[in-house]
Amino acid sequence: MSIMHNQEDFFASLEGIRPAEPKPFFTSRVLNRFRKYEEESTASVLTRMGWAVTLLIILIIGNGFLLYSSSRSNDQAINKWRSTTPRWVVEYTEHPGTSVYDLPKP
Amino acid sequence: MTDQDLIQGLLNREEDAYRSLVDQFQVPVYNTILGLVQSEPDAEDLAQEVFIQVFRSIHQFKGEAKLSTWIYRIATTKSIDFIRSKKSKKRFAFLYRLGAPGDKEHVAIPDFHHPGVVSERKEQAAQLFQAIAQLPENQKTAFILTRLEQLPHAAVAEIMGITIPAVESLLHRGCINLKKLLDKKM
Repeated sequence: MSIMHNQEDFFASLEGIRPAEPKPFFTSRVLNRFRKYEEESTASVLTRMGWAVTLLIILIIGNGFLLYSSSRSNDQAINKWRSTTPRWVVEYTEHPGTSVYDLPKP
Repeated sequence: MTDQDLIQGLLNREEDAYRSLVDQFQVPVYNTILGLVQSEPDAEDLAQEVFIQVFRSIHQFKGEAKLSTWIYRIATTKSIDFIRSKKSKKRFAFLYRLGAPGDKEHVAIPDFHHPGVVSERKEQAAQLFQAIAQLPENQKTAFILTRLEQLPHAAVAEIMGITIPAVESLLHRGCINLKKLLDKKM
């Protein structure tokens, strides 16, 4: 019986309890934290966009360089082939529709 | 300011609406969280996080429940997540200590004194809160919302996403468990 009485005392300890309040200036702290959070997330979005644009520029420049260097090396190879190959072979290769009678004599 | 005005203001990102929402809900949010996590610094931090989440996800609020119900739901979910992560950290620390030789110190639940309790009942309330901390999550949530926040069973049911009889059952089982836990202390 005494135990039951004590238990009731424990439960009664919550009677008339006042709601706990946060420390003063809670609203200002929340708003400051929210602003900071927003700034950070905006900054992180901008940083990510910056990285994406940089990567895109690097890819475009890299591709352009590869394209330029491959076309240059092709031209060089063609010129070398032209200078070392007999003229009629060059003419026949470059204009396959040409009649053999029109080709320069070897 | 009505709920609808408040929501519209938040959607328009108006400073007044942010302030008004925090002013209106800071006490119930903080009080609920404090009852669940039983630590003032953690409750302050979590309450701030609740409002930030409300600001950020207000566009997801469909208006099916009351704004207060939605905010209470965020507060209780955050508190339960926090308690879970704290428990798992404690478990990890315990396992770590098991590996360390010669240290068999017992980690007790720290005493929590709710600031709203009248001074003559502080000791009993501290023991009751210690017992509440050992209740299962849903019983603890139902008990805190009903006894500390003094919300009606229908509101608690809506917050917890269960029926009113389920709330009553949780409270009944919670009280039995609390009595058992308090019995051990006496």
